[in-house]
Amino acid sequence: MLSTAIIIFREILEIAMILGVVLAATRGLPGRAVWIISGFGSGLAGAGIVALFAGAISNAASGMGQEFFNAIILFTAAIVIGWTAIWMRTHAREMVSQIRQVGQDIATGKLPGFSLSIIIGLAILREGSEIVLFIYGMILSGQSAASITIGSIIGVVLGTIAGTMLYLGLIKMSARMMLKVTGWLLVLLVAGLSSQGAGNLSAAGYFSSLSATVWNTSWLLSEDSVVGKALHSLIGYTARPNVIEVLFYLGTLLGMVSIMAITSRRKEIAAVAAVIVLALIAQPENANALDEIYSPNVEQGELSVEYNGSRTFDANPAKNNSQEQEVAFEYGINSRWEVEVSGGFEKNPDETFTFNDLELENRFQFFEAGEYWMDSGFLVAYDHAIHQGDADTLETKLLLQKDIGRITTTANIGFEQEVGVNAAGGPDYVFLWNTRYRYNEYFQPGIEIQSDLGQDSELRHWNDQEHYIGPAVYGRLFGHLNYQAGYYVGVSDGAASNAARILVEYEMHF
Amino acid sequence: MKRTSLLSAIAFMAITLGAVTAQAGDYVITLKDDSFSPATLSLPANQKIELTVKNMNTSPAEFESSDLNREKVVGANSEITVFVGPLDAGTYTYFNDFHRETTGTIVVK
Repeated sequence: MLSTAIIIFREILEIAMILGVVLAATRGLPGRAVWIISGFGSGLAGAGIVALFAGAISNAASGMGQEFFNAIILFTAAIVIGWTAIWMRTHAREMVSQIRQVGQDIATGKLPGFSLSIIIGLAILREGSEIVLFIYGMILSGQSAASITIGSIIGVVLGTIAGTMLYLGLIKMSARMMLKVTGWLLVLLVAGLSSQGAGNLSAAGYFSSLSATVWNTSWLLSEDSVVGKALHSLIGYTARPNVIEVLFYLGTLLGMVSIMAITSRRKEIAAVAAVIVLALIAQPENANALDEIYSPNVEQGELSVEYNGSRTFDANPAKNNSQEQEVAFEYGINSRWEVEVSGGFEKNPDETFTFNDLELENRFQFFEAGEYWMDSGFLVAYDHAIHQGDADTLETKLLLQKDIGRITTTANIGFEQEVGVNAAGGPDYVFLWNTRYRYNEYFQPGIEIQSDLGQDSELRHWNDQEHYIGPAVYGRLFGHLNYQAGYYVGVSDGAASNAARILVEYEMHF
Repeated sequence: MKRTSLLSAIAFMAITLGAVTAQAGDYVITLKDDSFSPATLSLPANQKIELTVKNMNTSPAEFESSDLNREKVVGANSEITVFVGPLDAGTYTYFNDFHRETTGTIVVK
């Protein structure tokens, strides 16, 4: 009886939490009782039907039916909840002021009301079918009807209480705060759902190159604990996420946030899509010296998505087409600190993608821009290699910038050190320099030097190192699209004959 | 790590060596509704200036200028400090990045 109670409690808690957040977020939506009840009813009916056909679903699609079914439900739920969250956000002002007429209310309330019932229906369908199957299994294994019934009732009651407390707690906040908090909870919920959907597809055999586990936090919070399971259903917490789950989570999170920030500026959505599409076009292979040059100055509240790519050109095939591609998401937390999460990847000859590393970078601005003779800052980054046998790296750089009239010079000086199990060698020093003429906002031409001074014995010999110099252009287009592009000549034996890089960044503000 | 500490020491010295004191408090730009005042601000040439930008609106703004190479967010009903200069004589324009039609001019002589 106790095990029945616990398991039912956990399932009900999952439903109750999702419902609590969604109901609190849609509070004030007129006529929603109808939608809630219809959602409930259809969810329960659906759960019953699913339980009946469980065997058939499992065996469908070469035994991957269960995974596909789950993935479809999860992605659908993510899309519907996500759309509702965005709708709620854009209509937040109207809802808080409560000015509209009743008739109008119902007309405009219809669409989110319908999605509300779908959300509830889907949540109940997922958990409900699990509960039905579980009870069926308990009956088959000879548990007494009385013990199962009492256990279920206890579980349902406790789960409902917990969910109601969450709902009441959420609605107690001021209307404005509540919309903000539930808004964020919904965003995290959608990201969690989408990443679980990806996880199911990964279990079904897709994304095989992206299915390596990225980290394991079960020592910190186990997914089987009550808190862990609650966090799992609320924000998609998982102790051992794989690459594709992390990517879907971050991608959905930032996609939702960007869309919510943009009200009717469709041009900007197209620009973000363009940046991501750019990332998919090029032809990569392995790492080289070229990198982005960072300014020490941070912009508070700036959120941006960036594509960064570079490649070499050389007659010698061993030095030709050495590439690096990266997609990054950055956010300026305050006026002194910016964080960036990025993924490094490459495209294989057979058009599939290999994800190579995940990096977390922090940039700190020391002083106010222009306060001293030179602007300065510091970068520290940790790069986690995905493949077995590759080493993680820790990177630190001093960032300097000086304006003299319309001429801006930026320098990044630092080193990278391999750490962890596969680490080898001492620090690898790098030196990057750019001097440009700020002709106007769109076009700032200049000269750039990129040098990788190497590790250990390489540090003594110019020709063992990679040195490049060449023209570079920086600028900003359409007010939100920053770019950096350079074409270089190698000036040491270690460098390739030529190299090129391009960076495109779309920035938004909060 | 000898090499990096030497590098950082040199860099730090270079940065603080030029800490020229700025003229504070005299130069204020105020944003109210959709305009900056004064519409044209005069600044002396070849001096570092400490500019105060005040936002009297109930929504945040961003003081930005490609001529001056500065971009900084000013919260609603707040003010920020922006260092500019030493500047050569000439005309410099700036704008509110959150509402680009709002622009202002700085004349340096």
